[in-house]
Amino acid sequence: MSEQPDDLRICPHCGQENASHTMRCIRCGQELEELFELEGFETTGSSDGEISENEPTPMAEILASLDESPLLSDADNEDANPDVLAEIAENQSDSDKESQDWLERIRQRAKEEEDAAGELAKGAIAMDDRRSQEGRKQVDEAFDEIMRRIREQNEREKARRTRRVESDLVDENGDPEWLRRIRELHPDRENDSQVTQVTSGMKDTSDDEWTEEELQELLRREVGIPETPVEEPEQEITTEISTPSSVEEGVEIVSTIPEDEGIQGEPAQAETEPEVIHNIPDDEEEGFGGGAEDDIPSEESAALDLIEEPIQTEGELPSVTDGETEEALPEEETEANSEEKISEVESENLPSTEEPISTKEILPDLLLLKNQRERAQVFSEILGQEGRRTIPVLHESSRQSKVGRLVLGLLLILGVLLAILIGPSGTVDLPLSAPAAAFAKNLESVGSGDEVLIILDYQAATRNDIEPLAKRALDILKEKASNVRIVTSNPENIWLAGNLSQTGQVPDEFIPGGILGYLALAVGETPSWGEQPIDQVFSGNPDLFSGVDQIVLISDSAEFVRMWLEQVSPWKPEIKTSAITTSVSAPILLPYHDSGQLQGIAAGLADAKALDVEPQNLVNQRAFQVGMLLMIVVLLLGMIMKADEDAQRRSEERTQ
Amino acid sequence: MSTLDLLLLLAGLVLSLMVFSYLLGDTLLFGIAMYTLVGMTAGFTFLVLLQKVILPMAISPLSALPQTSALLALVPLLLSVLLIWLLFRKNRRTSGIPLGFLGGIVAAALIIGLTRGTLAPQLLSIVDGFNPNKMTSAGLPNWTGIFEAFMMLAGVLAVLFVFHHRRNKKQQDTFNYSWLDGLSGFGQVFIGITFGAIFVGLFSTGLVALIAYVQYLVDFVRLW
Repeated sequence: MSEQPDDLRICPHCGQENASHTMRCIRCGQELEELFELEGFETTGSSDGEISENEPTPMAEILASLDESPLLSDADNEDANPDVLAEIAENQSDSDKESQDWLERIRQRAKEEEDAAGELAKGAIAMDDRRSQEGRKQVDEAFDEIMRRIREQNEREKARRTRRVESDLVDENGDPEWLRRIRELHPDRENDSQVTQVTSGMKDTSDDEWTEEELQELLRREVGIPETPVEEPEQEITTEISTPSSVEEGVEIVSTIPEDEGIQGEPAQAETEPEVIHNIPDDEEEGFGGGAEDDIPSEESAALDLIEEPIQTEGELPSVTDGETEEALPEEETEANSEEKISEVESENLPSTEEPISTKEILPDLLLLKNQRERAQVFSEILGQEGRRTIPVLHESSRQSKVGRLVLGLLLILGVLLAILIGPSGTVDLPLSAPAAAFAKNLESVGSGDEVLIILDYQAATRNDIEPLAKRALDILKEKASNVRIVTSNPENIWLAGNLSQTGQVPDEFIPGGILGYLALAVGETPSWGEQPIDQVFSGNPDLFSGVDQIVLISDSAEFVRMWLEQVSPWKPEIKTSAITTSVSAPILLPYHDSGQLQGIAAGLADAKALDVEPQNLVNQRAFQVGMLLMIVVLLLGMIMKADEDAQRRSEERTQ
Repeated sequence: MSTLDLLLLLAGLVLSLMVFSYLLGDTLLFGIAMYTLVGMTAGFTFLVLLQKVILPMAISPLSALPQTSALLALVPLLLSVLLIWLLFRKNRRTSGIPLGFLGGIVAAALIIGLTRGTLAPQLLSIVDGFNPNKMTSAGLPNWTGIFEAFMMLAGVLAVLFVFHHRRNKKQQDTFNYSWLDGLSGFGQVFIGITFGAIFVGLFSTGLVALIAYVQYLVDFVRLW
């Protein structure tokens, strides 16, 4: 044996350095026979004809045992040099002859040395130890490598399934994938539930949000893992939640059920016929699904029915080993038997980041199906609406608007009051409008003895805006010695007309029927056989428009003036018509003045100057100016606030 | 000032303050004032109608039976009875006779009156604005008259198009033309000016009434 300083041996065939205990070259596979060379002995090849014939067996047995050893058996053995093998077989007969000789030498040396035999045994034992350690090390490394690969693959699979389930779990509406499938199978039931939700109001939106427990439970149902109760249900749930979206992992969880619970049976049958385990009465299920549930595939129906399964875990755990459920477990256990250890290793390596969720905490959410929960919500909302107002009130003013209105009103009254109390009335010099000038001109055209018909139709609320002008117009007509006839169809004007003259003049006639009464008098003619019923109301001449030259409408309603122009004036086109009205009606009546249907319009105190009436004599002009100024300020503030609100609303909409 | 006038002034003062209480909301005082006004108006109106309408037009002619005028007076009396019957028996077909008669007459009168009294005269007024005699003055263009005529025509067309455009927008969402939107906005300017003028007149009338009644209260206080 060639001893190297670093315990390396050089292969005589290729020169490769090998370990001292190596029996074959790691490069060329050449057998390093020097290992068996003993000092003072020749090699096997070189001892031809010297082997003892009496003891040929030991050497052959040693070689055979070495060849048959699994540690030394290598694939390269088959490709070993056939020449060497033939030489060995050829020399085997010669070694028998030499056996006596080298055996004698061994014996001789054993006598001379203290532990001659121990030297060889020590080397063999050392060689065996090294081989056993190396083999165990290789096996361990190979096992660790396999474990590492399996672990990495498992983690990749886990991550991939997690992403898939997370993407498929809910859609853009927040509905899980399994719920969408069920909706596709049961459109009628879903529509009913949607209608119920709509009627129940918007409060359902907050209740429809998925909690963490619901999502995890949904996930468990999504992957189709039956939550089979075991002796340690909390541990199972914890493992399941920590590693969601993996069917294999779910199988691992199930496989953790002890075998001593008698899990036997037919796995295939259990897979095709999932047993419904729940404590809800059958009539409850019929009420929900009816016959429609039969249309649900076994997968979805099993997923639905599994909602009630945890109920079993609440109380009687032994009932888990029930019939078909027991049958389903062995199949999954056999499939996942190889991965069971891996899951255990993972459970040991991966720290649990979540607290174990007690089964009792999940049970309250699982006791009701979705329809049951929705119905319960509707019922609770119906009870909650007891005594509430169901029809919204239109134009319901808020407290802020009430306060604003009060402040504005008080401010206006206070300003007017202070303007009246402090200082003189003030003067105003308003420009004379064209319609007002036309009215004055038309009134001046009335000659002595002309028939003028005055039609009264105004309310007491506007008397301060109308009566000064009307009174001045009557005075002018009286000065011209014209025949004035005052009529009205508004009962209120019967007593209001007393303010128009110093004598407390009342209307000459009351015309029933409003504008239709005027129309009847304008259109109708006295028949030859008598008189019309409306003629009974006149104390004098029933022909109201007979000989009339001018008609002055005194009305605070532009609608009345327009109706007069539409209904009466076309029948009496020869009569000139003018109007005394309020400031409100002036803009509406201006087109009729432009078209020539109205000879003139005197609208409110602004046109009082046209009749030589000083406005300051009618109303406190300073108070009027204060009131108008306040209103202008309020209008500007309102416009600014409205613009600001609109801008904010648009910005919020843009943000959303 | 007599005692009666003083009491009337005091009543007016109290009623005015009750109406002013509307600033605090629809209070009981405001309700009392309103119910008082409505009740008194209804009672007075009933008396006026009884004296001026019912007795002379429906009851008195019956004394002249069997004259034609008296027989003719039975027609409104019969129709009035049918209307009164409606108060006790609803959904009676016979009660629909006076209502249908009245509704038909009113509708016909409104349509004819609107056409004759507003539509035709206003259209003629617009056309008359383009009268050459009005658009020229002493052989020279009357730019004021020309501008007025064109503005009147443009205003009428734009305002009419506002309603037409709004209706089309409601009917079809795809009705979207920029120039039509611009024309509609031009018409809205006219409508806005008109509503602004109406609002100013309304506020002016209300302010005059407020000043008059505050002046009335001040004068009443100054009496003491």
